[in-house]
Amino acid sequence: MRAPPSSYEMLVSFADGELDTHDRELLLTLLDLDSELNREVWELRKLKDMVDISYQEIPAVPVQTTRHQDKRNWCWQSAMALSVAALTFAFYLLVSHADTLSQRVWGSTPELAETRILLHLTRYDTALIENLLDEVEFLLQANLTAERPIRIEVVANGSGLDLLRVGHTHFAERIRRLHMDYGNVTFAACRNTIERLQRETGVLTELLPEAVIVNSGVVEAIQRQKQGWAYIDV
Amino acid sequence: MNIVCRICRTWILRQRIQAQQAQLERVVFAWSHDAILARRLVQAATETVVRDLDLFREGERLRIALYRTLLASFRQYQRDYREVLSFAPEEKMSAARKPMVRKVRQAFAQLDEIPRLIVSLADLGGCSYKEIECVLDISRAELLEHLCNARVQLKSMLFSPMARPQTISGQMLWSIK
Repeated sequence: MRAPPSSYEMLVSFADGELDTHDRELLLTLLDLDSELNREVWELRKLKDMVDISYQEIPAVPVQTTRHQDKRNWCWQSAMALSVAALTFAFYLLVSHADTLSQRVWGSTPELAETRILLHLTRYDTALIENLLDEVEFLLQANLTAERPIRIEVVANGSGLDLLRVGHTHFAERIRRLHMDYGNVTFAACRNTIERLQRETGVLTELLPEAVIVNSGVVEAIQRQKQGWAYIDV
Repeated sequence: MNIVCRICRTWILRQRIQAQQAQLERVVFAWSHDAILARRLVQAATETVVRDLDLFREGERLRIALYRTLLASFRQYQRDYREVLSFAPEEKMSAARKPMVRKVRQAFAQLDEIPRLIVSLADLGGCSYKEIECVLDISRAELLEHLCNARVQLKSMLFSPMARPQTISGQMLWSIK
């Protein structure tokens, strides 16, 4: 004997059209008898409609002019583009030499506001990874307590990708918790490895929802180093 | 032949995603209240899904794949721009002229992240509970708990006591049958 669908969860499921036929019939019968239930359902449906209506129109995003429309202003836009490119290049030069300039002016290298660490994982060894995650958590916790900004990125490629593969990793829950507790840790999976796995074994790789995909683990490591991240090969 | 098949599949996939583009943008807009960000994330997610065609080739998983990709991009954006990203409904919603729209969006902005994601996926994205479970990787019990709490919270913010059916001596003045 099934319990009557009287809970609020049942009402919400009913309003969302998620009840099966049996429960829907039962609830419809109860609705005829109970005006309070009726009101709850009416309010839930009204709420859904209000949310839907409120996001029907979103602010217009400025659209770039098409090539066809550009023809008349081609020369002017080219000049503008060149100016922007020149300014961007000048800005890049300024930024890329900012440290040197600052050092010359102030006589010392300014401290980075944020600690940024990239951990490069290329093999799947449970003891090693457990240690790695412990270290990550410790770092995050310590910096959180000291109110020091920190960002950590774990890049996995080769057999290290198993850390982020559903059905292969032993650390899904740990990663999920880290991700939920600390917003400043990223787990990146290497696309090259995913494609190679698929090519060689025919297996479609399913990643943990916390994982983001980068084109290449190695390139990501190089780029991050160029951006001033500390690199640790695990 | 394989190349031709792939091109065709890619074209079909693009068409299917384009048909959902407005809906996807609405959902991401509800997460961030930033129309430009919504457009950018949807375009990036489209490219990702099309590029990873082989990973997402099962038709029924397309919506899940799209929303999972969008969510990952959105969270990445939140991490990268945590300092500059502020969910400031009052400023960004001054453009919303209708009082009800403004009120709903303000209430929506006050929800926690997970309930906000769930309500937006259910009410705006047209996702079933099963799809939401897959997108957010949560259980049905968690989903229902967050959803019920969010609906109660929204109701308390949006429905004033005056909007409810009044009673005289316990009798309803009106009810829906």
